[in-house]
Amino acid sequence: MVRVDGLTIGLRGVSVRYRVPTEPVSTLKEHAIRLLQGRRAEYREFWALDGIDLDVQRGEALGIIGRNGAGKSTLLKVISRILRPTAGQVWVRGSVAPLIELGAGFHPELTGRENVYLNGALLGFSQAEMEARFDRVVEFAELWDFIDAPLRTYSSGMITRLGFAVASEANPDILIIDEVLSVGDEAFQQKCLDRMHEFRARDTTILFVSHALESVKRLCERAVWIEHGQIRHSGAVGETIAAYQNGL
Amino acid sequence: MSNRTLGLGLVLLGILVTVASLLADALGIAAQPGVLGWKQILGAVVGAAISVAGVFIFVRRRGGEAERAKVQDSRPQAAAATDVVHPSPEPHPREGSTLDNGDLPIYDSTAVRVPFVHELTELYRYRFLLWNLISRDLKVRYKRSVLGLLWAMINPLLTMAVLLVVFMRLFRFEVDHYPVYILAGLLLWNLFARGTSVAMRAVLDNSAIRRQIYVPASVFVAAAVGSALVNLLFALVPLLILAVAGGVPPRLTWLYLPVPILQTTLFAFGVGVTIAALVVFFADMIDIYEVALSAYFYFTPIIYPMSILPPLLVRVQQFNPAYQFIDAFRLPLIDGVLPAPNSILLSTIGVLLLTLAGWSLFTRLSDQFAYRT
Repeated sequence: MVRVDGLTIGLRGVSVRYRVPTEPVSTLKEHAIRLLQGRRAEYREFWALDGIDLDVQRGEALGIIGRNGAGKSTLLKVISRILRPTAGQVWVRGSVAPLIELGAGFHPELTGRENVYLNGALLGFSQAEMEARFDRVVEFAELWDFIDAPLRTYSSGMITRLGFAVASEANPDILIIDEVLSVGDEAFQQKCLDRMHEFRARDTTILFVSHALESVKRLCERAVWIEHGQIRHSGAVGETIAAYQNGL
Repeated sequence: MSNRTLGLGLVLLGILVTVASLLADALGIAAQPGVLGWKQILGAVVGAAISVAGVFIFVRRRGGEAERAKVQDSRPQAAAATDVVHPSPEPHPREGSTLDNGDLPIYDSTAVRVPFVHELTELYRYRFLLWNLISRDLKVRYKRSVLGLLWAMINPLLTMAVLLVVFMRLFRFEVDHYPVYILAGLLLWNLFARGTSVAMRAVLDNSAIRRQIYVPASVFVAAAVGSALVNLLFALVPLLILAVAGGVPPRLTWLYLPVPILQTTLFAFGVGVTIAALVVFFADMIDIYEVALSAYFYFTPIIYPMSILPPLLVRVQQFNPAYQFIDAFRLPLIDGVLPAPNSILLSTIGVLLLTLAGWSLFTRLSDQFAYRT
């Protein structure tokens, strides 16, 4: 059900280069010495992404698989505009909300309520928009009794629930998930999965990075396998996973 | 000659022209010794402008085009092929999009944008986050203390008390209303010192968040200066009470007090945004700045009166924005007079230029922050 006009994400020849200095040059002193000696700093170059071409249709759920350090997270970063690519073009239509490491923007001393507003603000919401969503967030996280207690009194499961609730109430056009489905108790996991399927029904585009191939298979219809910053295989999810497993 | 050398040369030349114009008296080349002539001001402004231009050229060489140019020849062989057959610059025919998704925001990493302006609009778009960060700082700082927000008011009073004991007993400066003099100076200085020191680390300290979600980097710098400003506003209460208790009658000139506060805030933001960008590239800037800051504190007549300085240093203070703004804060507060416009004008122009230069440096480098932190 690919729609011609439904393109949401497009990458053309996207490359990301990190330059790792071969000797310490991170201080002004080092730079001054180097300048006096007339030497230039030497770098080892590392291409985290190397000429990626990728199209994602609106409403599609795309799985991204590959070994550690293959460039999966870097790919998510260029799409969610955390990194501007060294070369190539990234084109994204619609709002993007990441669900990476839940609760990164939380502060332990603030109450659950204050954290919800802070996290919403990090996602780019206004005061009014967060007020409209607040009740549903707390409802989904099942935290009515604790919402005015400081976050440091929460269990890690409660924090994760709150994080997932904020991110999923954000109701973005594109949801980015990096290995988070293994959170909370079973009932809550089921709730998260239901929420994912709701997202899919609502035409939300989903990018899902995971090592859990079973989850990828269940959630996504298409998958890409990334290795050394390049797309090694792209196609139907079963096919890509099979290719990945054969290649290991 | 490379752009880089040219840029550096211009910066040095600009600084030289500025310093020469401002210190014409001390160097003995002034037309009217003792008075700040218009030629001097003109020279200073021109010098500052040359410096700013130099910074532009220097940064441009290091940032944009060079980076792009190098990408072409240093890419691995495998990727070279895709480079030659570069696909259509815009992969998505916009006219193809129909009704339902026409108004969605579009992000294009290759879109032409002016970082200087773009970051300003982003900062405005994230103003709700800015406000949340400032209130988070306040809440976190005072939440677990018994006195709560009262600490924001008591803290500067205690510092002042210590200084009073030291200076009134040991040095005996002849200053009217010395407690108010000290507290007023300290409060404004704290705004600058705290604002810049927190702003300096803003990009580094928030890299954990910025690794996971897009947030304009300048929000964190603005939040650092903003929460220093809010702290000052709290501390104004005990200051005014102390002033009245110490025999300074409430005056109409107190209405002028917000002006030097805003000038100092701008100064803190200009310095803060500049070092925040530099610290990402030079880790030792943090230590260098801390030393420079404490030297600057003693160099500026904050806890001591101007009258104990030798004549040369007195003249130099004309060009010290920190002193100018603190003085412009104390005069209406204690003496009930407004500051002389020309001394304030010079500092304000200088601080404005500094802020513009710092902002342009920061916004030009901000794409590289994510690669470095």
